[in-house]
Amino acid sequence: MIRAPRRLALLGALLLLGCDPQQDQHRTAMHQLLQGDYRAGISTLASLAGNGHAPSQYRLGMLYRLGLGVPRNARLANYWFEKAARQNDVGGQYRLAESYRRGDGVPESPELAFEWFQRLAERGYAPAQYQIALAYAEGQGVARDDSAAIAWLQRAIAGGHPDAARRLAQAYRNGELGLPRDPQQAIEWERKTQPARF
Amino acid sequence: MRRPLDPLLRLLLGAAAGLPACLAFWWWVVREPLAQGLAQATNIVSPWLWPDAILGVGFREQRSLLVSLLPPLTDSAQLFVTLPLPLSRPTVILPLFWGLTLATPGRALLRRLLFGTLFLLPVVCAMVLLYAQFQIALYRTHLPLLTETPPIDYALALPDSPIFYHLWGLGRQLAVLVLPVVAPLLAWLSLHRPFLRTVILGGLLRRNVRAARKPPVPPAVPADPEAR
Repeated sequence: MIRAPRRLALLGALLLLGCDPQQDQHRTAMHQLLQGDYRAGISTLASLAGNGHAPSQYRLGMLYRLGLGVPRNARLANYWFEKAARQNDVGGQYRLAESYRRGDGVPESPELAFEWFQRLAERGYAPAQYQIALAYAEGQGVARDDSAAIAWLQRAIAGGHPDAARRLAQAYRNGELGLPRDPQQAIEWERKTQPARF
Repeated sequence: MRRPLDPLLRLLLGAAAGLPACLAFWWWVVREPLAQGLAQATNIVSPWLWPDAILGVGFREQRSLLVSLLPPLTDSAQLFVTLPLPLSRPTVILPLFWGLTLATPGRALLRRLLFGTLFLLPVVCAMVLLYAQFQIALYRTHLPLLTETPPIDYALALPDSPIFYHLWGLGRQLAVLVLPVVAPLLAWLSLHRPFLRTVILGGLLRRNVRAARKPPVPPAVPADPEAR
């Protein structure tokens, strides 16, 4: 039988188990942003980002990218995206890859874009898999490889990416990516882009 | 002298009158406060259950929504994605239980109502949490499951493993299909065991015994055509 003080200690330990001071501060900052208090939110995020908290680094980068509560600054945005990306943050990796692809705040580099998208694609993120498929199909940042493009498109489709299904349907319709022209297959893949009906 | 009404018939008539009354009471009086309470409860537990996925529960145009911490893929000024979280649906198990309890003859009605409600409140909370967990999984994994389609926007988060995703789907089925029917019935049955034993099971047994005691009907004697 557990006595009252021990029960309280156990309860306290269980509550503390779920506490992460950085996570709590991050939530506070997000609450402030949700309520429109950008000044306080950004200040908390900046402090957390400086201490290496990846989600805060991503959010701060996003605020700089969109110019919300701070002047728009693509270079600073990418600085924080890269910090987050190096800690395997999904948002940081995707945004950084996107910036390299577009040359937004960084010199345009399809190779670096491919590298970051590939890291994320291999972790199972469907939008990055779609980007990898496009890079292989168009030879952007990597040597053109139709069979790799199809394989990545199929992986992205399995991850529920409708644009990937649309692209594969287009390839079958027009006989692209080394595929034979096959309208029936095109219709089949096009059907996968429709939302499920019950 | 008037014969007392069969208790089973009384239960059915009582339920026919009590259930609509309780549902009306729930709809117009307690539904909103209960939804507010559930939103508060979810806000309290969300930092422990989903520290990096859910910011809290809010209301917009009388609809309850989960505010997700998982950033959306869309490159827009939208910093947050909201996911549907119906807070009224789980609480409907309370009027179902109240209606059945009011219809059941017996003493200590208030105590039975109170105990049953206290038993069902954690079930209501569990239903909300299971549904919220499924909504997060749906947003993160972005694959249609059961009758639900994912939000248009992708989450900037890795998808759940297939096993967990299907497990959360089962949790959703439990919250949406199984518990709303089973929980009020179980609460009612557990609080009215004597009634169940004597009236329902006893009545069935008596009926069977009566049927067994009936003398066998003698076989019909074929008519003698010569007797005419």
